[in-house]
Amino acid sequence: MPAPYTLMWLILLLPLSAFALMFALTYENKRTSAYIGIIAAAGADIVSIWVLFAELAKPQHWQYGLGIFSDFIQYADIHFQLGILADPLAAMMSVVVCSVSFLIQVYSLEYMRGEEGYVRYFGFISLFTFSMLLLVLSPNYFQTYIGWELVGVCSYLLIGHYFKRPSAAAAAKKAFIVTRLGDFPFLVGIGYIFFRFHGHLAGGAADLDFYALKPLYAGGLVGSLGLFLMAMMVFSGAVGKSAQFPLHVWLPDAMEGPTPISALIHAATMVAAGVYLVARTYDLFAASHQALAVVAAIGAVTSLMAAIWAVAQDDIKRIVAYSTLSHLGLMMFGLGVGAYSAAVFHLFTHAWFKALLFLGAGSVIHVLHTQDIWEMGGLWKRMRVTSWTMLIGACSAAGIPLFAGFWSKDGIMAGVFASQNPVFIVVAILISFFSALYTFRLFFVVFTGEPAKRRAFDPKKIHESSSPILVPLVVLAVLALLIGYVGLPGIKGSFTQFVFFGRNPVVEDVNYVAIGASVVAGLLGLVTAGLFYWPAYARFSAADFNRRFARVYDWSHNKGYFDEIYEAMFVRGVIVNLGRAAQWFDSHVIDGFVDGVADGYRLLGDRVRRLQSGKVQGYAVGLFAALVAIAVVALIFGSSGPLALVGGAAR
Amino acid sequence: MIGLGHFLVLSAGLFSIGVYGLLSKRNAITLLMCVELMFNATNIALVAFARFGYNSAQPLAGQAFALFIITIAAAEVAVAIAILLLIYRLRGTIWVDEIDLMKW
Repeated sequence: MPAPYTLMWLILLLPLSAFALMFALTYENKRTSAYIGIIAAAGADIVSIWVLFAELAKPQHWQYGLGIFSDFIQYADIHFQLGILADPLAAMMSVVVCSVSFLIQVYSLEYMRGEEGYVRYFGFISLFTFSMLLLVLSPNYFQTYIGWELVGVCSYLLIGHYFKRPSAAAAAKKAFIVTRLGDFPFLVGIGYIFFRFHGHLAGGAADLDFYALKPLYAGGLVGSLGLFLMAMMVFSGAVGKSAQFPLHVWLPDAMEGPTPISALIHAATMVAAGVYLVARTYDLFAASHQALAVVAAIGAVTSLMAAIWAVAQDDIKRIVAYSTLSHLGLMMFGLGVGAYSAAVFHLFTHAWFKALLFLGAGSVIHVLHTQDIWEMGGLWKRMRVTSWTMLIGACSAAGIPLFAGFWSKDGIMAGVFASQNPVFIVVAILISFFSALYTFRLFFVVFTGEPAKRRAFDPKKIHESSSPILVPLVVLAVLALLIGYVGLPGIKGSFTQFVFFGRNPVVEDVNYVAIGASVVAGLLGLVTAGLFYWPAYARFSAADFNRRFARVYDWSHNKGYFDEIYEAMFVRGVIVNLGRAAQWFDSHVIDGFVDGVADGYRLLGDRVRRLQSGKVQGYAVGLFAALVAIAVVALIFGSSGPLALVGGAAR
Repeated sequence: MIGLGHFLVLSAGLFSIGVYGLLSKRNAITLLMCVELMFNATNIALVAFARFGYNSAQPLAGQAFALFIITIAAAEVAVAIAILLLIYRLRGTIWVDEIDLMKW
């Protein structure tokens, strides 16, 4: 194997060792721990980038087990392997994960300074990085599931970083439980895939190996209903992890975690795992049209609803969280309509500009000590770098032409238009409109105009953040601006020719109608946002509008009342009662049994104890009673031996 | 004629009276007397069996056994009264239902 591939195990080992080191050895030392984490992420990043360039030069699908993990489980003909897969998709994703992790940790040097649990924070970030890479570099479903669960745990640990706050603890629990609802069908699906394809894998590959399974899905071993079920079960894992409808409720609450965590986990990487999974197992989905239709529908619904809800939120992190939801939905939508390369490309660009938006929001929060956008305003003059980088991020997110987000979104639009489904097309255009609307609403309210009257902070004290915060922002802004150019359609060597589905890359024609519609919708959104929220040019009042359309505003502001519905339907109705029943069973039946055994013995002892009265006559009574009993028995049964004598004589 | 049965009935009756006394009297000396009664009842039974020829190999075994019992009963009563004297000295009572220390 050529050079970088022999080093790939370092990508996994470095973050894992950083985690172990931090908790085992350097827990007291904050600076050292932070640097260990940063260096590990940087090292993994360097190897990842090297591998990426090697893949770009000549794509291969290297895949190998890691030494003793090669035959992790081998019994009879069952063979599970832990290893590393190096192909374009994996290489690209590992660079994203490592780079974002690195930038986040640098940012956190300043952002988390003085906060409690500093080393714990960095340790869990390294653990998360390892878990996500385990997932991304996985060659089979088995390892993917291991990484899947691990990132879920890390998400729980990091969302609940400020665990002493009840809302944070509740949010962490919610995230874990809701994603669990998706993970369980995923596990069942993996089992189903294993049983159906076991023994048919070519060339001694491990079971559940992605590449070995590729040709088998449509090969006739499983009927269309079976394939649909398999795909849906795998997709349910993605629905949970990527917060698609109906399991989207955990993502906004996850904003309880520190902002850099929101950037890392709930924007760039972990939530992307669901999209990554669908992309990785796309052969399965491609074998079932109905499955793709479901993926597209759920993605579209999620995207549109989240975009509408984002327009009526007042917490800066929530707005960006709903933006993430909307973009993830858009990626699923793209995968569902067959725009594989475009959707994966959007995954790639989204990681950068979403991390940028979160980190920029963090910069603002760090200085102003508030998350309410109505307590902000007029930051353009006072926080130049943050403002410029956020502007770039917003343009990229809204799909403004020439920014990175535009190129990737355009690819998805082309796919949607190619599907020729009018509902999809209308929804996609609406998504473009609302995306621009909420993104620029955020930008205008926070950065333009004058500082808000209702605020917790003296406007004269507003200053720009310091370098550990600003440098990652600038790096991400540059990426958000320029990285789109690696994906220009139709150019040789571009992203779509690097990561694609099927044997050969699809060379797309540029669909000007799609681009045009999406750009027009986006610009309309921008202009609308400006008309409502940019004080210098505002024509309409948002407050009046919200009052006139109060029902719609309330629906949007309350996120569609999903939390309330789930609370009433499941939590109060089912779970609380199940909990009460289980509690009753535990204290009455189980404890009753255990206590009952103890009580029984105690009573028995009580009774038997009375036989030992210490009084001789009591014992004598017992003795004679036994004698009488023996005599009776002898009388009845005496036919042989000594007893017969008694019996015979009495007769 | 007076047969074995009569003697055995006599023996059983005496034994039963002894048992009744043993189980229901409070006075320890009375208990000892009842035990003596039971011993004598068994003696009657043994001698009766010997008299009516129930053991052809050893015709007088019953009578010999009865002599043994008399001896042993005497020894036992001597020991029992000695113990009773000591108990009276320690506990000040001879009511058996008040002497109940040998228990849990």
